[in-house]
Amino acid sequence: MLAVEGMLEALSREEGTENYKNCNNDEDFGAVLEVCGNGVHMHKLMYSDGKERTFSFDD
Amino acid sequence: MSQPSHTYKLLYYDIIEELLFQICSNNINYCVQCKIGGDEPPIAIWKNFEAYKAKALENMASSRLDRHKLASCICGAIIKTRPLTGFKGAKILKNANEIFALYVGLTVLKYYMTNDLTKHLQNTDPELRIKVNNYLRENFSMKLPSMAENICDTQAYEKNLSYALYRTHETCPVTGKECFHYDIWAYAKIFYHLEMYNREALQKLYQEYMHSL
Repeated sequence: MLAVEGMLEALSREEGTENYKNCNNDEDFGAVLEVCGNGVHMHKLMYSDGKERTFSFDD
Repeated sequence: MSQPSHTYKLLYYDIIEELLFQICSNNINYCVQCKIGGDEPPIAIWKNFEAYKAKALENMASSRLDRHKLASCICGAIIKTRPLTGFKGAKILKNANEIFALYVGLTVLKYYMTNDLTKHLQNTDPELRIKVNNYLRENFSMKLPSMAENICDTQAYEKNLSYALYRTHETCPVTGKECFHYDIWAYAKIFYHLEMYNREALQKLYQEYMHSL
């Protein structure tokens, strides 16, 4: 018989998807970016109007 | 009206804009759209990112998304926004935005993976931690399975995956309008496997660097 133990176990569980809630204990994304990132560079990018410019969220 | 968070600004400057710069510097045929739906690209991406995060949070017990869902959400947001275009009508790859989106997602994972490896240094030697983080950021590229590792495909994994992302766009046969059906959760699981695929190589580089110091 074809082995599919995992499937049979999953089907025998009482809970379905009605009250499914995912959870995690991952690190805060902002904290990861702060320590692993390279800071703000504000590169000049070429845009479709033919002009190069930097973008700032403060503008 | 809400504004982009400090975290999103870091994500944009450090990863999204950095990769856009590398693409446009490397090939003069690529440039960035001036406006998308009336917004500048960073804002357009942010709005789509927020929408995908909100959707992902609907079935979360907490308010924090894990790295794979974040990677998936920003990947989906970029594919939906489509910031890359051909300069002065130049022909570019039709799945250029999907390739770009994939590597933004992979870079999010790389930062988390680096953080996992170096966080123990924060209390003992924070300066060393910065040095190691910088080294890994500049010397480690996330990889995708190679042709040699293909089991049955005759096309490269990267090509297949970026094309799958491209197919999340479709023209609805009834309305004739573009339909976008990106599965955040399925692609989060793909990002999980890509993290697993790269984990050993990153650990090896980290250990080699630490031994060299």
